[in-house]
Amino acid sequence: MIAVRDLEVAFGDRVVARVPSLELAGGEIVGLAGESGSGKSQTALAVLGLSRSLGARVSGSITLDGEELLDASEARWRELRGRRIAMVMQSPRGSLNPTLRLGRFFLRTLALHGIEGADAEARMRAALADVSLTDDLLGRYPHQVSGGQAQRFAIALAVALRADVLLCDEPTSALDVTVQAQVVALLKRLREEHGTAMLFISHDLAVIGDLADRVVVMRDGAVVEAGATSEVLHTPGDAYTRALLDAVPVIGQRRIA
Amino acid sequence: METVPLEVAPSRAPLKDFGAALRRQPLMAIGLGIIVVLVLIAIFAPLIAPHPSDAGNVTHPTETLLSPGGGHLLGTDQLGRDVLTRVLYGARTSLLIVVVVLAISAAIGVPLGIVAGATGGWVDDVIMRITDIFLAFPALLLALALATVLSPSAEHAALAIAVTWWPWYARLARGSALAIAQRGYVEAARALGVPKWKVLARHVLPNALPPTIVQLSLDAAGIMLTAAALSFLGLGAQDPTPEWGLMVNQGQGLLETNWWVAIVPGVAIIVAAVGFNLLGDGLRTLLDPKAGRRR
Amino acid sequence: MSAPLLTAASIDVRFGAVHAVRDVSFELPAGPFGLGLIGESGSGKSTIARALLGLTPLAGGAVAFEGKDIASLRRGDMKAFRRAAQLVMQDGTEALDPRMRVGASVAEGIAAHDLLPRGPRRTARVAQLLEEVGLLPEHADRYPHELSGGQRQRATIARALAVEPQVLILDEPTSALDVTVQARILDLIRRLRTERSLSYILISHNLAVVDQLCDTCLVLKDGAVVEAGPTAQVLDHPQHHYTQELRAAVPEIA
Repeated sequence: MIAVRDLEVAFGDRVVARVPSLELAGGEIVGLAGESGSGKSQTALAVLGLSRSLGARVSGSITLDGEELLDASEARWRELRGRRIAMVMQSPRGSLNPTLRLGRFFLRTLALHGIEGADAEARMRAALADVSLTDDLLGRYPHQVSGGQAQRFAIALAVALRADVLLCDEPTSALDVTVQAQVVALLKRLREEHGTAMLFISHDLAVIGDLADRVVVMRDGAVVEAGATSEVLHTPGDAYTRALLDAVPVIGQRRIA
Repeated sequence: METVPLEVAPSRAPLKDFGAALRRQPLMAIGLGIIVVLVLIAIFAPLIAPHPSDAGNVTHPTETLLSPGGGHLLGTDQLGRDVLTRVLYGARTSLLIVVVVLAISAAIGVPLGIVAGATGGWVDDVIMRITDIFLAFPALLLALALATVLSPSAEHAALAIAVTWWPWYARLARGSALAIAQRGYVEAARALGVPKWKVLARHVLPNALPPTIVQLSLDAAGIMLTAAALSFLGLGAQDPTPEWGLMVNQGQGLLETNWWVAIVPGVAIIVAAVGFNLLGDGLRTLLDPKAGRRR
Repeated sequence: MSAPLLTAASIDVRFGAVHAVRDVSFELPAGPFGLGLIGESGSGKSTIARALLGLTPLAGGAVAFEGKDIASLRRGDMKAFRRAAQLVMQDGTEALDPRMRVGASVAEGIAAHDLLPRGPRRTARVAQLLEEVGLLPEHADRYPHELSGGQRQRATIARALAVEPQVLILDEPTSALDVTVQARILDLIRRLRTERSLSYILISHNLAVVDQLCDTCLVLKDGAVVEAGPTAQVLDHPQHHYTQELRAAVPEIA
């Protein structure tokens, strides 16, 4: 569905992300792993067409079902964002309008993409049910719901818009581990039931191991390793990947007493 | 032992940073330039003014209301005094008032505000109620009262303004102190056993200063205008003290015939006010890391 | 066995109507020893840390250091307690004053307790502390924003160690750090534990981190202790359903 080739994102003469190739097919979850400064967020922003507005130079090719997006007009990007490519961010309330009740915000966003009236209402309720959120949430403001609920709300929005591609940038890093498990389970279900393609960015290799079919490991703006998740995580080829894996603390190992 | 590489090159010189900041913000440079000129004029007035004695209690009945030109570049007023000289000396009066008011306001307001914000509880309440009371006084009314009880003068005008101005600094400092009291390093200082007063002086005060400094610069213009207004109303500086507002008052009846008497000091007020404002705006952008990064 | 260094006896903390900590009790023995406080958001773990150091008032119960109730300590003893028990907080909370050089921050405790006079001896001690935590003496002249997150965390640890504490309370010391940086900080804590015979309380939501550094641990939920015991036992054979839920939720690279 999404094919990225020779992507390069640069600020001035500093290249922050260089991705030779990245593909996302329907129903597939690709994990983008790395630490801070690895360029994983910049890659996601490029796939959303947001790099230029931040002042970056982007080169290469990003296609969605064959359509070249890199030089697409801002109008075309606005059509695609939310509708076909949705994003869930690290800050659960970051994409929500703090002055609007959640229900109104939901319907307004749908209206922006031409979905209104009874159809919009129906989609909203179905999407909320999908993410296991109850209707009483609709009357609340973003600050009145928990981080996990806000994150699930953002995912529900993507579901209602029937986005084919979901970009998740550290969506669970700010959440408690039990809530994280719920969100991960939800994403898996989305993949099963709707065939959504997902790019899941995280510094947490364990979560990626649980969720992603394939993984791309980035460091300092470059891709150091890519492949099937089970392979990369169990038999890493690159020294950095091995260092990353070694650094992850595992219960039962290196006990002090 | 593992080695951890130094991440950054040697510390940048703060002075070079300021220079770079000035280059990025030409308006602030202009503001700074104006203020520097103003200060220099104030300091060296006796040396640069063509007729220094005209700043004092003198009259030249034969040279009244001369138009600009010749020996009097900006003309003379009703008493024959050189307008240029009086405007240059006026810079002294204005700057002095501004400095005195700002100094008093900050000296009273900032410590009170910090103590209120960092201590909380009843101390905070009491200080804030006192602040509210003083906030209720309009400077003009207070100046009028003082002028009635004492005699009207530039000093009393400054006092009146200071009394109504310090509450703003208390509020500002309190807001900063409230925010800073939450920061990790304040908690760490307490945990380390640093005495409370030292925590306030060493951590809260320096971090509360930037917004205060910005406010000081922005207020300078307002204070100057208020002082000029008071003098204009006859409640501030009295003749023969050269003060811009007073000079505008003295020349307002002559606008159609001898415009320079009022217009020249008026322009001085505007230029000084603009200078302070540009400097203040620039400082705010400079000291607030989040605002204006892109400029 | 020697008497416990720090004791929490049925401590209660309230913020207005919110009952943040309910009837929590535990003992921290002398070092080398690590006690873990495991909890998610709202569990009260950070509040407990502040209460243990006397930074937050108690609504009930007591905290004792070497057997003495810290609420009853007089000025001089309180200051001694401030030396004996130190707090290391996570880097994200602006743990270092941005307007002070790192060296000055590290020396803050030394100054507060008059341990060394200002001058070459103090500077040398700061350099020594910086090296102990894996930094270089040159870092003393830097400002916090010139250091990376991991380096700042090390500096925070150095600042706490400067007063030679017996007890260290570490509140999420690695949560804001990349995983490779975290691993090095955990190694540092391990090394300090051995070299200084430290006794510490490690607060974290990360079970694996607690597992690596703590002999015993407590699991907190909504301000109360739901399970406690030797770490290996609590994590390998959790008895309480919440502990089991936590354990099951942790993703692992199979």
